[in-house]
Amino acid sequence: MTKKILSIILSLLMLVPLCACEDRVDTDDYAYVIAIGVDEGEDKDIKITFSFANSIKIGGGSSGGGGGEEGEEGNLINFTISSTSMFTGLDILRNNISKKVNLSHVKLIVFSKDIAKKGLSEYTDGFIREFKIRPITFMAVAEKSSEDYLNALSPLMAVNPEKYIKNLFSRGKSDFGAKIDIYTFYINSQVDDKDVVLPMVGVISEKEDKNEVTNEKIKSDSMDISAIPLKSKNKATIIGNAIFKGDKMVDAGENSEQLFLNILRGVAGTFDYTVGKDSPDQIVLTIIQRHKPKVYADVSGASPKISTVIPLECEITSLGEGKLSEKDYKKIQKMLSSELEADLKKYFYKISREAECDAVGYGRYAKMSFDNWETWKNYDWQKRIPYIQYDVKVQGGILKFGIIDEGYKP
Amino acid sequence: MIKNFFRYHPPKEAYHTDISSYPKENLIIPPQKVEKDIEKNLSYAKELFSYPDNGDIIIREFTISVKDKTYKAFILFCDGLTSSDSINKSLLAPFMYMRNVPPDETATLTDIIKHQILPQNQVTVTDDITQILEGVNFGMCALFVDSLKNGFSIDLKSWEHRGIQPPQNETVILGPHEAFNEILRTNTGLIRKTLNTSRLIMENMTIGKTSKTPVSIAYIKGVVNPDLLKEVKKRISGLDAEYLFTAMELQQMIEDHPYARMPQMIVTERPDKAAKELTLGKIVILVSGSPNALVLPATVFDFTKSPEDEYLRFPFAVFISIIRTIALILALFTSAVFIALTNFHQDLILTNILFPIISSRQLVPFPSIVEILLLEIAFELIKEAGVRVPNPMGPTIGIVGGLILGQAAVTAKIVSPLMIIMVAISGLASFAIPNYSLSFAFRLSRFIYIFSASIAGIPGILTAVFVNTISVFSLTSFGVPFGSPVAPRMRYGIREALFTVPLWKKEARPGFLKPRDNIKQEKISRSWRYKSRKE
Amino acid sequence: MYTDRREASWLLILMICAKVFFTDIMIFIHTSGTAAYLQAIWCIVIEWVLFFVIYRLFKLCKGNDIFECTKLSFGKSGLIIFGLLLFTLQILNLGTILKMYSETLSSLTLTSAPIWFLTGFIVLCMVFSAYSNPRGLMGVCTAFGIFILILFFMILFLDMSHYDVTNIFPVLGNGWEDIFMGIKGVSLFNDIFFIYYLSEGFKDKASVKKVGIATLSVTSFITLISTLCYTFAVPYPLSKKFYMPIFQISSDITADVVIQRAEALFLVMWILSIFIYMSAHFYFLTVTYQKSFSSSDRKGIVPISILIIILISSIYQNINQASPVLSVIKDITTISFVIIPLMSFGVGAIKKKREDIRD
Repeated sequence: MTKKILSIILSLLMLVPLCACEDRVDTDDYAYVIAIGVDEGEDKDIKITFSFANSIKIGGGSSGGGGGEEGEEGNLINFTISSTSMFTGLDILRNNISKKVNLSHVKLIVFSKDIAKKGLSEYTDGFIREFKIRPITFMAVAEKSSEDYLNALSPLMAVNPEKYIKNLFSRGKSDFGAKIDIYTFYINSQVDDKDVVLPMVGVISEKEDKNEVTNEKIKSDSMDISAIPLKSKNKATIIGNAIFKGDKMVDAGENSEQLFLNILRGVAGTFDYTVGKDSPDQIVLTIIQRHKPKVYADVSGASPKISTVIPLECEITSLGEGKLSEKDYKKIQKMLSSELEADLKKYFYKISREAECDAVGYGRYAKMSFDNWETWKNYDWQKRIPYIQYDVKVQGGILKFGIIDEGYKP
Repeated sequence: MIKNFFRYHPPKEAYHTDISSYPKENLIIPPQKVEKDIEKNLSYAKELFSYPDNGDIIIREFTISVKDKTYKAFILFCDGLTSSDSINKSLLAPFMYMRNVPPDETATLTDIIKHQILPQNQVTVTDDITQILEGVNFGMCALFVDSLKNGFSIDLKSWEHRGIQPPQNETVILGPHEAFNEILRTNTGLIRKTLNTSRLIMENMTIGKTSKTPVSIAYIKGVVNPDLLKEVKKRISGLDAEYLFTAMELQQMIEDHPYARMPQMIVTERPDKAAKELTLGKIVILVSGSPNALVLPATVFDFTKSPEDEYLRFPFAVFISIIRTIALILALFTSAVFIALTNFHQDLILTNILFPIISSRQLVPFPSIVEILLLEIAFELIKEAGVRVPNPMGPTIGIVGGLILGQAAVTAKIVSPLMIIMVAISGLASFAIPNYSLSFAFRLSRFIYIFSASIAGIPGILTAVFVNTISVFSLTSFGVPFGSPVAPRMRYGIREALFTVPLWKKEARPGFLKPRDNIKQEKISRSWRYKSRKE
Repeated sequence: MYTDRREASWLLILMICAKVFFTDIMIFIHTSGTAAYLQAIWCIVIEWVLFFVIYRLFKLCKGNDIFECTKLSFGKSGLIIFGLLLFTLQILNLGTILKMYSETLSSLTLTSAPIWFLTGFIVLCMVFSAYSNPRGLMGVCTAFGIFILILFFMILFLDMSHYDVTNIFPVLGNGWEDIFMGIKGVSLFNDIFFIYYLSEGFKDKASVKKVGIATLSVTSFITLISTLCYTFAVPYPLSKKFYMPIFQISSDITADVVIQRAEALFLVMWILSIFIYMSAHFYFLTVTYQKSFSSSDRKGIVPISILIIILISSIYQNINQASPVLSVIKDITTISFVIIPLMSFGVGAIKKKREDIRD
């Protein structure tokens, strides 16, 4: 009798876990968001654009490949909602879509410039606290509207939009744009000794396609889209970068400036640089940055002194029509050092004096001179950034000449 | 016919029968000694064998003349277990013609019969009539002579049997292709010729109170642990079953944990494998009528080794063992991990792979857990059918399995193609498991992991893994912890258990067997490397 | 039951590592800031010293484990008092830790499932291992130990590109005083005390020293390296905010090769370690009961103690309620796990010396 009762109890207990667990959802019962855009809405609302992947089309479940003709569903399906917060917006969206929304495959979150200027910590705090969105999701700032950017986004040479976004925004060796994820942004926005730069994205309109020169002066916090010399079927592109102080956007910069930031950080990898821009001896060099710059920080005085030595390896790609040859490599080295140093200094002063931010992260080196946390806090690095006295030395060694080398004698 | 159609036919009473219960019949005939009066012996034999009801028991009465005296005699044998030719030529003929042989005046009749008449190499003289007559069931021929207080049990065994054939379940590419068959002495002979040592002992025992199935316990004297041997003999002699016929039945009766999924003894059909295990200090049990040998004690790592590991060169053996380890993991976890990832942890799946998974599952009506269970059960059905299918229909199973379950099910959107791939990988991997008993354990465990994955994803699988591992490591096999030599860690044998070790580095016997002689070979077994040619 | 030295080492290593993987190294960050690794070193030094002092006394004592020594030192009533104290502490600890583990597990995975569903898995493992042969638990530790440590080092290694050495500056963090005095809340190495439970099964008393050295070496290295890597990966003061440091390190890894999120590595490693921790702790609870109250069967206490543990865990509503209680329990446990062996072995050693002198 006891065995019978125990068997019944055990059977009932075994039924418990077989009840539908709330978390058990099949893959095809989810709708996967690939990108999110956040814009300012009316009153205190925000406008959120969710870019869903058309899984069936991408996976080859129906005929036809990527892109899409007019009226046909593309690989990305966008929804825009106004609500008080992102997660409230999702709840509203669930009344329209039959599937549950899955945020764990979001690859990109775009904030509009207005939202970025007000501060992004309330959003990034939520992303980090919850595990729904991956901490390594990329972030960007839209020059005008993130909704326009996501609507214009049309992946080129890729069926899978997720792969397109990932490749576009992931850290590469030849950067011309900033590549930052939520986790990095959150960390850098919360600490005093480093600030962050996000890529700025925008949409090329028909007018700019024809390369019309506008009379508008380039303002410090807006990007002149017509300055992008690019014609493409995909109108959405990375146009520059957004400089942040803490979690608020304070300034904008061009794509080319990102290169200087990467060089100062030591993550530029391989890039091309033109020496002698204003002279007939225009020489194109391929530069490889293998080592991090050596940074010396002196915080003994009222204004901090930062000096940095940047070792670079160079290869002559093109000597142009000038009179210089491989035998003049010492002269070329000197030209590279002086021009690059000037560019780097100019860029650094722009971000430190105009934007008052430490995008390079020299605060980390300044911190090393202090004994304990209290004294470092009292030093108040953020207030001293505009007064940094900066010195940069570029050690560019011309090591390679390709297979044409007039200076070589066997 | 039309007339008959309209004619009334009374109903025929259907044949009905019923069986009643009967009380237990006392068939035990008390044992007795051989009588001098041959008639008493004859009537005892007839009663014991229910003669003449028992059609294959033959009684041949005849007379023999020795020293000018005539004696009545009879032989009793089983037709089908003995050689009629041998009976005629080597038993009856010498008795018929023995009047021509001058007898030894000083010898007794028993001695004359045993030493001068009977040419057989195995003749037992005893006064226990029951022992003599019971030997008839195993191919012996019983001989009784009037006025003698002894009877003779003569070995004239000859019955139809399979020859030595290649192994069916443990095939190897390189290495011997001999397997055990159903004859005990053939099997013991195969082991003895492989080991070629006088220290190999084959102790005889019987199992089954009525069947008295002969069993041989093989071990190497001076190597095996005496406590282990004592325990084995104690368990075998302590069995009170009426009939035990095969090694597998014996295995179930003597193993420590019969309800556990994992087997605690290795069952092998290869004499070379049995011989190798004997050299390590293990015990091998051979049962007459069973083409398998039991090797004990066993640890969990023994089941992951293939007989071919020592026949392959070391680099190939390492490669094959890595493949086998991967197969073990795939066999257990493929389906479960797939269910866990697709149902609970979609964030872990690469987005690139996620979209094809989703698109492949379009229009499939069942949830993935039901899909995978359907496919797993179908796969198990194919496996079972493949074992039992008659040979001419063998290829049909491949066509049925491939076409119907594969292609047609996918086209009809009953299952998704990716699920078929998962189940196929899991099934293929289970075929790579070298031990048949272990593959059964894995088949059971796979379902447990699938259920636990469907309940709670990765935490569910890990719970099942944890519980399963504890249960495996809690087992013992004849006093040896099942997780040896890893848990508890033993000095000797751990490398061989976990990795593939070159043949010349296997110097010691496994520590968990506690053999009397630890060392199997010298530290430098390839001494030719260190001697110059001139030596 | 004969206990192998290596099995015992693995069991204790994994019990301590389960704490490292969870949240116990955060105390170094909270008290010392960027000098957390210095405080970890200080804590490790103290632990080594304490271990050798207690071992020395144990060696001089007559008994084979802590219970025998306590009985010889204080008699049966002393053993019962000691057993009661230990039993209470262990059961409170288990109940509170169960709540914390369940809540944390719920926020990492199976977020919509009720907490009791996840608690059930941990309780199932505890009950199963308590009823099985203890050799099973030892075997699991030996079998999974290497696997767990490999996953752990893989996480640390894969995140190397995000390590910033400047995050350990300023060198002294919150100051010397905080570094030295801040260790009073540390309970990371408490579980080394259970070596005196297992010592009965060793071949001789010297094995206790070998097991202790092996355990402390591995766990010291793991503690130090996790503290260091976490400091490198997450700058102070942001590092104070996060709850589980190793999880944070794994979050930062850019996977996208075989799996998309490297947190899965952490999840597998951590779940296995909490199963081992809870099962082992529960096993020691049953041993406490058996030895202290001279019971013939330790399995008799399993059903009632599991019920009590589940009841205790359901008292707390969330982690914030459980956490302060746990820190109090840990403080008392730390003190008890130092004082009790010192007293038992000390008195036992003195008594043995007197006996030897008399003889």
